[in-house]
Parts: sequence; C-alpha cells; structure tokens
Amino acid sequence: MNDSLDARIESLATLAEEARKEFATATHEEQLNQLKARYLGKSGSLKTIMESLKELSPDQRPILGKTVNQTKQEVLQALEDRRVQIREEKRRQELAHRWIDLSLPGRQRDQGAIHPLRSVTRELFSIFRSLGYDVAEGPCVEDDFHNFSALNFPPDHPARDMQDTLLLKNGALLRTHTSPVQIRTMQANRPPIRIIAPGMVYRCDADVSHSPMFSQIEGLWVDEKVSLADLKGTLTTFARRYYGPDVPIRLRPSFFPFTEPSCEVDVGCVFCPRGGSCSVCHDTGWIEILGAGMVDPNVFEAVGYDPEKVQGFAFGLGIERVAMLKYGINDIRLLFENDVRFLRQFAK
Amino acid sequence: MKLSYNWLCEHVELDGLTPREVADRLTLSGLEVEAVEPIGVEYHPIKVGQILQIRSHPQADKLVLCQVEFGSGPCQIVCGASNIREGDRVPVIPAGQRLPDGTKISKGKIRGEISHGMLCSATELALPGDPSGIMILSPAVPVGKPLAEVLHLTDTVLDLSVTPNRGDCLSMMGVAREVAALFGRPRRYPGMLAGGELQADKGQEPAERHARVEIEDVQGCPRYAAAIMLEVTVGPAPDWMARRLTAVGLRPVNNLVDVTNYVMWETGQPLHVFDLERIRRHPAEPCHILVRSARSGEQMESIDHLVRTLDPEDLVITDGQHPIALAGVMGGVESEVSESTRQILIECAHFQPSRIRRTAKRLGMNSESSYRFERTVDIEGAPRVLARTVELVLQTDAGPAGRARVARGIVDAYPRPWRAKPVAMRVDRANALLGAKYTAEEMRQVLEGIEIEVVESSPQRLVTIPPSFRPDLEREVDLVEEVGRLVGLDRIEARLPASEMGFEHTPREGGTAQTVVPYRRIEQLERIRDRLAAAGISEAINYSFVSPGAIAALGYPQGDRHGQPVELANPLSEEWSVLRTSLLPGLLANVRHNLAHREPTIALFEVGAVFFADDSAGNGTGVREEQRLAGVLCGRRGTAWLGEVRDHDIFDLKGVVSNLLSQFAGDPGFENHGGAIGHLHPGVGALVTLAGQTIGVIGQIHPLVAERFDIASPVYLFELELDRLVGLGESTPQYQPFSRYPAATRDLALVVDHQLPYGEVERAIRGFANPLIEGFVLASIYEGEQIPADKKCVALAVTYRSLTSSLTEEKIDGIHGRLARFLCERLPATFR
Repeated sequence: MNDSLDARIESLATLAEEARKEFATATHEEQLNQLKARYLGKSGSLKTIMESLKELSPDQRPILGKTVNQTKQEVLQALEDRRVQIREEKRRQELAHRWIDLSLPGRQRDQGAIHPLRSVTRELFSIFRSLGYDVAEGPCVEDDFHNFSALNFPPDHPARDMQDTLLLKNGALLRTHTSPVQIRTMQANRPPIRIIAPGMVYRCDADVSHSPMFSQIEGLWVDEKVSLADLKGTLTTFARRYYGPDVPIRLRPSFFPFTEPSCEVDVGCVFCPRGGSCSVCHDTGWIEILGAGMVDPNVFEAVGYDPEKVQGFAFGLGIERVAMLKYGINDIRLLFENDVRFLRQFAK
Repeated sequence: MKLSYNWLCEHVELDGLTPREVADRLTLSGLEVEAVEPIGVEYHPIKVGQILQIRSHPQADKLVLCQVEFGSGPCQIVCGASNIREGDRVPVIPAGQRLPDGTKISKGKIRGEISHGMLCSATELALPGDPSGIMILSPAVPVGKPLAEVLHLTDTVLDLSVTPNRGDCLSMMGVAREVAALFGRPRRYPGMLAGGELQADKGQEPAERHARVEIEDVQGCPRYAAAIMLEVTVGPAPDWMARRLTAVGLRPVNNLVDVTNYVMWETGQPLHVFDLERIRRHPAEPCHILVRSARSGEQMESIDHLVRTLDPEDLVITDGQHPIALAGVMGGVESEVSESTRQILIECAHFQPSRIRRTAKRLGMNSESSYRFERTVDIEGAPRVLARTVELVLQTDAGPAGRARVARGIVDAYPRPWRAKPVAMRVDRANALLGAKYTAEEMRQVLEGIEIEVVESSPQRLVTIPPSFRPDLEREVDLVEEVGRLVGLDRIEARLPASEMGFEHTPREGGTAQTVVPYRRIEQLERIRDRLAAAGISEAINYSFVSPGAIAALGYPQGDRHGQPVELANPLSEEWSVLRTSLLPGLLANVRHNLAHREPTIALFEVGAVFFADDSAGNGTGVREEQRLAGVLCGRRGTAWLGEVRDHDIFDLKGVVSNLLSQFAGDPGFENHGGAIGHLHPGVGALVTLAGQTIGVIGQIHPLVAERFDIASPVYLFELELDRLVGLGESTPQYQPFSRYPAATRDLALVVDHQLPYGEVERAIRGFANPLIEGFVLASIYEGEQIPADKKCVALAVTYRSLTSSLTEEKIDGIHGRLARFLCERLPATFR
C-alpha cells in the first residue's frame, strides 16, 4: 500500500512538471485556459488522483491530500505566472508598433523679445544696483543750464551749436547726454549721491553709426573722499562682472568739460578670435566703452555743493555700443527700425 | 592731426624708440594716436647703384650696356638713357622687384643682351625731378644703400586725436614737449626755433617803414605781429619740405604757402602772407593794417573765389579801408601772393577763439588755421615764429642767392601783453582726488617735465606758473590732472569706495524734483516687459520725434493736447520735426514697415515718454513728459502644426491687457468708448479703468486712420498711462480657503437682448450672491438661426460647491433653478 502512496506522490510530481512544461509552450491565454481545465478542471488529472484517495488507508489519505493540494497550488501559481508573462508579452508586442516621431516640433507659444538695448540696460542695472547704486531719471527735454552750463560747458562750446543739438521752438533742447541727471539729482539730494541714470539722448546726426536718438547710462558717486582709485575699482568690478572675471580695464586721459581729471575707459577685448585678426579692436587688444572722470569743481559749485567738502566720480556709457558689440549688430539704425525679423532674434 | 615721425625726431631725441612705442605712450598720456602708418615702403627694393662702365649695345644704337655695382657685385644692366656717365650714382631696381607704381621688372634679354635690373628716372620712381633721363644722385651717397634711406623717403605717420583743451599739441613742438617729458629725452630746436633775433640784413629799413598795424578790436585780436621781406622769388618748395607736408596731408603749393604751413605744423601758429604791394594804398607810404570787426553787409572775395558777405561777428584784417582777409579763417583774393609777388608781409597774430569758430562755422570755412585759432595758440610765441618763418623763406627762395632781403625787426601790436598767473596745488588735495600718495617732489618733477615753472615748493604745496602755451591750466584741479596723466593712470590703484549698507538718498531742504526712482517702480516696469514678452509681444523702441502728419492722422479732436505736439526748431527732417504725444505713430509706422516686408505676425509694445507743452510742468523746460505703455497686434497668430492659425482679434489684445493689469491693485474695467476715442473703431474700443481711474484705451485702430498709415489689415492696440498705472500699487494675493468636497457643474443658456453687454450678465450673477456658487465661465455666445434676430444666446457653466459638505443633486438643481429665474427677471432673459 505504501507503494501505492509513493507511486501516487510520484505521479503528482510528474504531473506538476508536465503542467509547467505545457504552460511554457502556451502562447495565448485561451491555451492556458484549456490547460487549466485539463489539469485542474472537474475531470482534470488532479481530480482523478484526488478521487483515488479513497483507495488509500485512512492514515495515508491526509498525506496524499496535503500533497495534492500543494501540487494544485504549484500548478495554479505556474499557470498565473505564465498568464502574466503572456499578457506582458502581448502588450510589449502592441507597444512595439506604436512610436512618436520626436523630431517633430514641440508645441510652442509665441515668445516676444525684450529689446536688446533694454536687455543690456537691465544687465547694467543689476551690476550697479548690487554695488549700491540707486536708479535716477531726468527729463529728455532739458534747459541750457542742466545740459550745458551746470556741466561746465563754456558759453561758446561747439556742442551748444544747432549743428549738434536738437532745439525746440520754445528754447528748450533735447538733452545731448544723460549728464543733466547728475545735476538734477544733486539739486534734489544732499550728498552722498550714488546713482546710475539711464535714458535716451539726442544729437543732430543720422548715419550707419549715428542715430539722432540713442541711449546712455550715467553713473555718479559723490561723497567726502571718493577718488580716481575708487573710480578705477568700480569700473574694474563692472568689467569683470559684465565681460568676465579676467577682463582688465585701462584708463586713458581724455577731456570732458564736466570732469577733471577725465579719462576714456577701455576694456580688454573679449571678441578677439583665436589666432586671427580682430575686427572689433583692430588688434589693439582694447575696446573703448566709456568715458569717466572726477566731477569738476565747477559742477559742484553749480549745484551748490562745496567742492572743498565733497568729491566724486562720474562715468557714462553708450548702451548701443555695448549692445552692438555684444550681439554683433553692425548698423545702429536696426535698433530703432523695429523690424520683427530683427527683434525676434532676441526672443531667447 | 597727422604727424611725421622723422619730423618729430628733429624736435626731440628718440634714438632707440620705435614709432609704435611712442604712439602707445602718447595714447596712455591723453594724446590718442588713432593710427600708425608707415609710408614709403614701396621704395624698399630700390638701391643706390654706381655705374662702373658704359659700353654700346652691339644690336641697338639707342641702348647702352652698363656695368653697375649696387651692393652684390657688378652686373650688367641695359639702359636707353643718354644722360648717364661712368661713375654716376643712380637709383637701381634689381630684376624681380616692383617699381613704386607696381610694375614688375623681370630679368631678361634686351636685343640679345642680358639685363639684371633697371636704372630709374625720377618719374619712374614717382619722385619730383627731371623726367627725361635717369635720376642722378649726389656722389656722396653710399653705394648699395636703400634709396629710401639716403633720400629719407620712408617715414611713419602718426594720426593724433587731440582733445579740444590741448591746442598746444597741434604742433610738432607741442607733441615733442610731451614725448620729451614721457620718455625723459632732450628736446631739439631746429634753426631759429632755438631762439634769437630775426635774420635781418644790416642796413635794411625797419619793418615799421613798410607796415603800420592798428588794432581796433583788441578783444578780438590781442596781438598782431608781422615781418616784412623784400625781393623774394616765388617758386616750388624743396623736395624735403614738400615730402613732409604731403606726409601730414597737406598739398604743396609754392615756397611761401608751404613755409607758412610748415611753420604752422612746427609751432601750432597759423600764419598768413600778404602781397605787400597789393595792400599798400600809396607806394611811398607804409601799408596800414587795421584789425576790426566787419561792417554789416561788407563783402570780400576770399581766395577760393567766393564773394563772402560779412557780419559784425566776423573779425577782418583791412588795408585801412577794405577787408583783405577774414582773420584766422581765410585770406582775400586781392592781397593773395602770386608767382610775381616780390614783397611780402608775414602775419603772425592771435585771435579770440570763439570769434574764429563762429565765423568759420557760419561761412563753412573750416581750415587748419581756424582749427588752431579756435583752440588758442601761444600768444607769446610770435617773435620766434616769425624768425623761423623768415629763415625758411630765405632758405627756400627761388631767386638768385642773396637777392631776398628782410626788413629790420617786426611790427608788433600787442596792446595787452600776456601776464603769468600763478596756480597753486595742495599735495594732499591732489592725492585725495587721485587716490594716490605722490610726494611734492614727484609732482614737481612731473610738472617741470612739461615746462611748467614751479616757483614755490614745500611738502604741502606747489606754486606754479603755467606757460603761455597752456592757457588751459588755470585751477588747482588742472594741475592735478597733469600729475595724474603724466605719472600714468595705470599707476593708480583700483579699489572700491567704502560705503555703508542700506544707503538711501536724502532729499535736500527746498531741493528740486526727485530723480531717484523707487526700487518698486523699476521692478514693476521690468515685470510688465516680461509679461508682454511672454505673451509673444516684442519690445520696440521708436524715436521721440515724429512727423506732424502722423499726429494729425490720428485725428485728435480740436483742443486735445495730443493734437498739439511740441515742435523742434532744427529738425533733421520733416519726418522727425515734432515730439510725439502718443506712442501710436511710431508703432503704426512699425506695423506698416513689417507689413511691407510681408511679415505675417506683428506684435509689438513700447515703453516710452510722450511730450506736451506745459509751462506749469515745473522742470523749467515748458514741456511735460509722461510715460506711456502701448502695444499693437496685427496679422496672424499661432502655428499650423498641432495648433490653429488664425488672425489676431480684439480678445487676444484684451487678454494681454487683463493679464498685465492683474498685477495692480483694483479690478480693471473695460467700457465701450462709443466713438469717443477718434482713432479707435467706433464699435471696437473701450476705455480701460482701474481702481476708478481711466488709465488708457484698448481697441481696433479706426480703419480710416489705418488707411492714413497705409495699413489695410486690422490693428488692435492698447495705450496706457504708465505713471497712473504704477502709481496704483500692486495687488498682493490673499489666500482664500478652498473646499474638500466635490463640485458640480450646471450649464445655463440665456437668451438675452442682442445689445446687452456680457458684463451685465456677469454682474447679475454676482448680484445673486449665493455662497455655494464657486464660479462660472462663459462657454459661448450664439447668434443665428435658432435665435430671434435681435437676440443672442449666452451659454455659461456654473460651478457649485460647499465649503462644509457634499451638495445633493436636489440642492444644486434648486439653487441653479433659482439663479436662472433670477437672471431672467433681472436682465431680462429667457431660457433656451
């Protein structure tokens, strides 16, 4: 009788093994369902063995019963595992036929551009505001006092001519530089003064490199002990932050009515191509970008400051030049034509 | 000003320096050298050769065979000239090289005889001289040397950009002074520039016998000096002089003109030569030079043969009665020197810079002379300059040696002689301005280097006497600048100014209008720009001036300040002759420009000032400036790929403006303008209000206005008053609790009167004020077949939600039904 039990247990193991093999060959769920019926169904193989239980002795029955149940669980598990495999395989095959061409363009919203002159102004704002400067603004229409006299232009200075300055019929003029904002700021405030003043300025000039209107930004720092060394430090910081950490500056003595000493400021050329000749700096290694100097005592006197008690520096820079160099623009008129094909290039 | 390096070497010792080194140093000291240009490089291949032997050519009667030595052993050159002799030194160009005009000389046989080069004529070398034969050089020139070297044909021209305060540097002497100081080199003084008396012949009559000078306008002419020369012969100037003048950009004319230009370049003093016989009213009497203001309407023919009508502003030199020259600007035809001139008066004067500038400008007669007078010349230099001029006229005279004579002394009207004015400089003040620590001694040396006399010196203070050629040095700070630039700005250390954190400007008591812009305002403006750019609109910048026609085209009503622009007195053109009162003319011109270039999508905005005449503006200019923000949308929008391409419409624009305004406090309102805004489409436009203030307009440009701007497509625009907008303050979001319970949505279709604005529907729903209405959105407006002609159907979706519980269907339906009935009554409306 023991033989009979062992033989049955043996056949159960064989059955489980067979079932696994057959499941593995199944490729569709329907096949699996048929196999399930064959092994586990009402007239399935397991059922047949289970029915032979009564042929065994009562003490052997629980042993075989337990083994049958175990085998049933194993076969069921194998079946379900295979079912998952078949389903996933089917999904994989389905997915393999679906793909999206990602070389196609994405959905884009129209993007507008900030004007390149404004972008540059913003960058300068952030540099100088981080150095503690306030922004100041003055009118575009000025009088002779703020635009010239207070800035130490002698009465017959050529700049005062109608040749250079746009005048209004009422006797006022369109400011020729942003320097009048220095005057207005000092008239409105006590020292110390620390401003940058951006704005539009105007001259009688119109060609490839001159626009009758263009933009400048002016800087002014007045306090008790501000010196040329401080000016140099300030502009060095500016050049490093704007053009790069190793970019040097150089001061060349020059002349402006409202500063003394005066200087032109060059920054190391950042446009020189490797091993070629540079069309920007003409191989001098320097590009001129701003004018600066120590505020002339006559300017302080004009605004009622005592030049023995305060001193300071001023600097001025043409935004167009900085923008044209930065973006490679070769005709200043493009900046005021507002051609969409031009502006769109800055919508980045 | 162009400057010849060879010439400069006559004025300062520069051994061992290169033109580039000198140029760089000058640039860093404030005399900017814009270009360094070598000249005469085309002469490099030409050598000095000596003819050792001349034989006849066996095959040609007119040719000879020369054995020529030019540095690398004798070789044969075939030549056709007849003026050469054995032993002559001549210019030779070896075969394989190019003549100055570019012609290549190749090695080859001429009638069977080999020729290793060519002997050159002056013409072939583009040099002055006899064109008919070979150029014969002096027997003293060394054989084999480059011709350029022995004839000084090569030079370097420096192009200087001299700032207007440095008239003293518009001369060789001035630049030499700077170079000498910068490099510590000794100066040189050619000829009479070293000083000394005029080279007058003994026994000559004094100059006063020939000329009498009277200055009527002393302010205009503080000094007038002149020298007299007799029996001069006019002819071409020598080559060396002509070459130098050519190098610096002047055209050689004749010895008299060339000498005056030469001396002007050397000394900075413009000179003028009169034909003495033509300005003498009576042959036996001295001429009468009278310097005075021109009389109104007085005329003179200048040497360019134009008859000039003069003005009392102009200063003239007269012969006692009639103008013979426009002082400092140009001579008159009647007194001009000619080939036949024998007696001359050389004028060396000083004129008031502003007078010269105005005359030159008014008559459009800018010259090297007026350029220098405008920047002031050395008033003390006259005697030395005249001595140098006379010296060179004698040297260059074209007549037999010894014929030209010089009258004794000079005539010199100098009513108010220059007086030295001491200028003091405090050492600590100079260091405070420069941020440096120079000693008094260092400063003294630097100043003396450029010939500023230091008369008093202590560790605290220097007292100087600036020389007469530096009238720009009047104040302490002028000397500080000299110290700074000559020691070198590269020696100034770079440091950042000490400052306290959180600095704020302090208004002055009784101060003028504040210029400092509040931090907030800048942030707001930048945010506006960013929002507009994100909405696909690009920033434009237009000129502040427009054409009067563009303003008129907008059709502002009579009396509207927008229709009365401020006019320019000297506009560059009619197109730019008035100040804009609106940003629209500029933006509409941009639309036209872009449409003309077939641009399908145009979306632009601009932030900028507009201008109005207003005497109460309070800034002293009679003009009020206001900041505006405007934008235009025109053409198509969207993309065909995965999207929709359609034309812009007014709702695109309204969406942009609503989004923009949402950052400011207050609910925006849009009220149909009903035709009140002349440049807007009567039916498509609204006044924009915020917090009860009208802040601008939106709408479609009136099609008739668009036509005036040559625009056929619809343009949607907004224009806002930026000052009012940013004055309103920002909206700060306030958190509202939201419900955890589900929402339910019910549709609502109301048939209302066609004329009823949608805003009334919104207002009515809000008026219903039920707290369970979470919100509502407009789904569509329908007009058409299923609706009566004078009606429209407004379809909405209303969302219901409670903060405290889930709503039942019955409850929602109940409220929705009451809302519908409420609206029907209120609007009125019917259901659909």
